Amino acid sequence: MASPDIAASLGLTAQEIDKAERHEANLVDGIWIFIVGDLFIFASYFVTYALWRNWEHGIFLAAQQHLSLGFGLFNTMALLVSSWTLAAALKAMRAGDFDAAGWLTLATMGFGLVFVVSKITEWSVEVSHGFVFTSNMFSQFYFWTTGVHILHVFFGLLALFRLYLEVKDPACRNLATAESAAAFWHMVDLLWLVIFALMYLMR
Amino acid sequence: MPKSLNHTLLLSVPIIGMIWIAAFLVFPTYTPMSPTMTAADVAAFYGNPANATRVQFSMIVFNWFEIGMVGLYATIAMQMQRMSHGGGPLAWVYMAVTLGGACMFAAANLFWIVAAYRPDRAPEAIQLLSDMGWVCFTVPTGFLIGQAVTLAFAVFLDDRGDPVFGRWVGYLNVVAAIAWIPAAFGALYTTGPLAWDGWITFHLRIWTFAIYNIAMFIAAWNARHRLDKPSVAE
Amino acid sequence: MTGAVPPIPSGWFAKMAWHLRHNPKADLWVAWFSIPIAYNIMGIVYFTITHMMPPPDATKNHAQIVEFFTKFGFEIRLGFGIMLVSLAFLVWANDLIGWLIMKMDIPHVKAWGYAYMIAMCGGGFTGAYMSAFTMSVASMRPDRDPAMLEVLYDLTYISFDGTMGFFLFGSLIWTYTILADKSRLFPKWFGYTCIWNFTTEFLVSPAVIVHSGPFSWNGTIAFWIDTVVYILWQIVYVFMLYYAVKRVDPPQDRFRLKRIARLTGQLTPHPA
Repeated sequence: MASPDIAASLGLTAQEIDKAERHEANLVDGIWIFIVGDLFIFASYFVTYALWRNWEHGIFLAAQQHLSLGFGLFNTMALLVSSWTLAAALKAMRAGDFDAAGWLTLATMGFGLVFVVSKITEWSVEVSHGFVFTSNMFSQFYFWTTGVHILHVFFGLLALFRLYLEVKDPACRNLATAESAAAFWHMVDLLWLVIFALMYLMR
Repeated sequence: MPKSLNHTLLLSVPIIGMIWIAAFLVFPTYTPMSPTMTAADVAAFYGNPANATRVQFSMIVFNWFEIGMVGLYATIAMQMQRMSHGGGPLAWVYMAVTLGGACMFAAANLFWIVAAYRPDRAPEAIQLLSDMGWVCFTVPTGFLIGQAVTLAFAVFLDDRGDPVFGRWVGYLNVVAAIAWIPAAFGALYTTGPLAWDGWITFHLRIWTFAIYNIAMFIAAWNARHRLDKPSVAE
Repeated sequence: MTGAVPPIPSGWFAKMAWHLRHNPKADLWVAWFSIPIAYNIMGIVYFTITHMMPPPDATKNHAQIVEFFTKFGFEIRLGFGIMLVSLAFLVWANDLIGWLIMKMDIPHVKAWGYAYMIAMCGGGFTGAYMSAFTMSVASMRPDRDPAMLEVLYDLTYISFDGTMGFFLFGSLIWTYTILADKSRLFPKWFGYTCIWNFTTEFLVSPAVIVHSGPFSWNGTIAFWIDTVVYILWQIVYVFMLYYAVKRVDPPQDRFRLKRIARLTGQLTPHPA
């Protein structure tokens, strides 16, 4: 809290004091509140999926044959590797090696982009085989859930880009942002693992 | 530039007002079409070339000038920024509700134009378009109420020794807002004073609107020199 | 307007009158109160008066649509009348947030505030009030051609669910500004949760394609989960705005600064 005397000696305006006090009042970054909430929301989607899978078991089993396990495995590997490079980036950052942290963050974004490209290719292959959103209930769940997931991948890529910019600029380096971005990216990875298990593997 | 042109925006308002009155008189009926008309009657109304031409002429003129009154409202919003809470969001609320009201009138205008466009359409469809027109014209008084309530509030909060508008503007806006409330329920009944051709929803609303605009023009005109002073929001 | 400010009186109404008269943030507080009022009115109108929510089945046949509009006709028109009378509250809520954005500490902050106001007010007009007109017109004459009633029925629900872009961009702007704001007018964790709000607008898009199942406009995912998340978020949002209004600096307004000084006793009414 800036006392009036200090403020007077610094020549701050009332607005500047107010902004400084606000900044002090809100130190918590709070990504975990978002992650826990998001996991709950995704859990509700997965429960809905499980219920419909029970009700329309035959349709779901038949439709799942349209999915390619190869694509699924490749996507999973891309995200797992990206998580690994991100963990290495954080380790480098804690050790103060910001050059390595920058390269590893870029590599993470690269693997994230590989996932995006591969996922879009997979969708186009499926659509070209006549497996589209309105085909049946499974395809609705499949396209919608993977769509929501890829939206999260985009958010994660934006966060990683911001992290990269911060790592490059010595004035902005901030471990709190790095940890938030990493926690979010790992959540995206975790969600993909659940989606992969539910939609590709559980046949 | 001649000094008299400093207030072109405000001076355009009475001219636009007279054009509105003229366009209103061109419309084939002074009171709205009855909501109890059957589809065949409505189709016959728009099918009658004399009526259709007058609807089209009236609506084209309204279409040209439907946003014309914006000069008055923008000036009032500028004045709101010169009141003691002028740095706050009130002036923006006023602008937004004004835009909403104008959009709703524009929607009604287009529905009537489409209704008169193809008289050989199915009578049911003409009736639907005509209904949409009258409902969009009658019911969205909430935007006007929003304007009046926001302005009244700003006027009452203007507690300096030398207020921008007199207190009477605040009271006028409250009275106008109350007079416009029943019109929001104009779709409830098809007969009686609350129907869209009833005296509460139509005459009360239209006359309040006319008197309100004249009074607000006078208030804005009397306060016009305030606009030369900087606003508190700047 | 000189003279000392009287002390805050006791008693509910007297206190309210005092704040309206002397609180330098009176306009902000009234705008804040308009948020719970507006959303309660909307909730009551949608869920209990008009029966518009929870949404009826998209697979209704003509006879069922006619029955829906016949059964709830009067309530629908009454409810939307109430909503239309009170619509300014919603505009106040949107513009309060837009104004608060303008008080943040990011580059070109006024542009962000204007963008928010325009996006949210535009969305309100098409997303919330379009349904009022289509529903009122449909319920006025349930004896209309059923095919036309069906058009109005679809227009109602698709304009309600399908106005995605305005709200998407409005909440996107708010989210970005909260996260980028150096002055932390809103806490950062709240900024993260705002991501849910604009993601909802992506998630609801299948409702304009499919007629039944969890992704239709009355489905488990596109309606129920979205609505629950939205309402929970809305409750947090009202509290966050409360603290933001408390925290926000007085605008650069000489009258207001003077009154604050008078309140804290730093300015004598008549300096010698």
